[in-house]
Amino acid sequence: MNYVVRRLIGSVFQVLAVSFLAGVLFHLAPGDYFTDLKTDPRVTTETVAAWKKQAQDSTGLPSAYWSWVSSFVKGEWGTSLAYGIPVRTLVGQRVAKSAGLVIPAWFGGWALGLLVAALASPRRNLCRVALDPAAMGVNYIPEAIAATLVLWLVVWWGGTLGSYLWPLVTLLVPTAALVYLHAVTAFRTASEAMFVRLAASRGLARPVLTWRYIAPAAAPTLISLIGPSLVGAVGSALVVEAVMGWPGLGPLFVEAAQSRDYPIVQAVLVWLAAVLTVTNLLTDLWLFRSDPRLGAVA
Amino acid sequence: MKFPAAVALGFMVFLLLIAPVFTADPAAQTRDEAQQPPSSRHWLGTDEFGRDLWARFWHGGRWSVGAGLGATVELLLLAWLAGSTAGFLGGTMDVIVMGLSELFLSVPWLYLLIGVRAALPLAWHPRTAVLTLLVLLAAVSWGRTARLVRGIVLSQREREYVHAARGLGVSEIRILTRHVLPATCPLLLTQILVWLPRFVMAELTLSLLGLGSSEPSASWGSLLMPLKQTYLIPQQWWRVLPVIMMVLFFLVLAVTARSEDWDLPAER
Repeated sequence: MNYVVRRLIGSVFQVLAVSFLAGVLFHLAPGDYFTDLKTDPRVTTETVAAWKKQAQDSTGLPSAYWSWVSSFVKGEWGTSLAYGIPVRTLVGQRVAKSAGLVIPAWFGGWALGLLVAALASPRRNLCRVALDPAAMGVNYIPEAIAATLVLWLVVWWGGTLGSYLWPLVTLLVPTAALVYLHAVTAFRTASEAMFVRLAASRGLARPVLTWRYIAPAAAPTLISLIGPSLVGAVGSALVVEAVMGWPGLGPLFVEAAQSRDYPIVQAVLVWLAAVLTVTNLLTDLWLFRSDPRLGAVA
Repeated sequence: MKFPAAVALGFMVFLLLIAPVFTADPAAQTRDEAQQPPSSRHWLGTDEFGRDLWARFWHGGRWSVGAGLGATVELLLLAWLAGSTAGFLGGTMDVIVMGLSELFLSVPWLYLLIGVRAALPLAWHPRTAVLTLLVLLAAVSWGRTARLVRGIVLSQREREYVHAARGLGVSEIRILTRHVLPATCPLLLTQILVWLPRFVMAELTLSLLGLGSSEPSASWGSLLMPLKQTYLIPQQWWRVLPVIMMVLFFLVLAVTARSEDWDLPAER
């Protein structure tokens, strides 16, 4: 319990640090949304000045940061400079779309990767000749290139653009490849353990051996992969959504960055830091449960 | 598999270095040769302005891979410094350095990259902005590598020969530089192959999203950007050829980066 409390306190400080650093960065940035708005010939200088005064009720860094924290705690997460509405309204709609893409792709990738690794790990030649190089290749291709190539393949074969299937596949396959590469090594290492070889010598069927002996032994390695793979999937989703036109968090974030709508950028960074920090904590707790020796050390 | 891949990688890097020798001017526009498929004159075809895609691929690669390599070197220097300091000194310094390294690992690096890009002046030349961005990204990404360096330094500082050197009155600085840090060199070499593709990917992604290098500068990202226009596919299929060459580059990096085949000494 002490460990959980310490990690929770550390996580809160970590998220606060990310929010403060983001606040400092954007406060010190030369220019903002209104700087670019001045170049729009449709808007007068007086209008821009009035909008800026309305949007920013404080100018110093401490008061600006406190104002943002208050808005965040109230549940508004700041006010968008471009849209003039609480950031939560904009981000909330997009988060649902992104979650609907990332979560199925991530779980599907894990399921596929684990299944292929479990079936293929005893077949070393198949892995060495075909599966390992294929997985490595898929894992190393940047998501920007992968998304573009998938888009071209879909049009080339006469598929429907805008379908949910293509961004899902583009996110799922690299996740599956990453999980496969780690899982096949973990399964192979676990299957060489003495207790597994003893169980195998007693004539246990392969599925029972895998489920009762090999998987639990390989679990710590795979559990520690959960956090980094989720971070990677969320990051990849930004590019995939932007390239394939999926109306998720990614395009909103890119648009906010291009127009320097800092409240949106700051809120998204803070929420991502919070979600991923909590995920890492939960993953570590699961890791300690699967291997009590690690929990004792912690 | 490893040696041919390393040779292929070395050859590609060599071609990138000497690109101005064997390619045409990437900015030269020939209206009469616009939107031409691959031919003996233009090996990857031309774009809508008649610019040679073969030249734009190699010149763009010089920028993209060069910027990535610079950021990689910066990251490794920072990680080496931070990890060896934390590992060798331990105590409070260890806690501070590792705490700082954790801070930026909680945000997906692509979101961090774009967030920082939003804060840079729009009036900057796009390449200046991308270089600054890669420098900043390297400055916040050292955490993972620093932890690996720290692990090696922690194990090396407890070796018998280190205790023996200390007993003979050798200074701590000399012990660190002469006896402990050389053990981290193999790790740093493999980390180049881990981080270089990431930084090249960063430049590529920024340019694709309109936040990095822009026209008329040649970069791999600017070669990728027109491909978002799917109407090009039936008429100009050759526009995907530079992308396939980029994929080959990353695949060669992937094969070269597989660490278990390298026969590098793990310790002195």
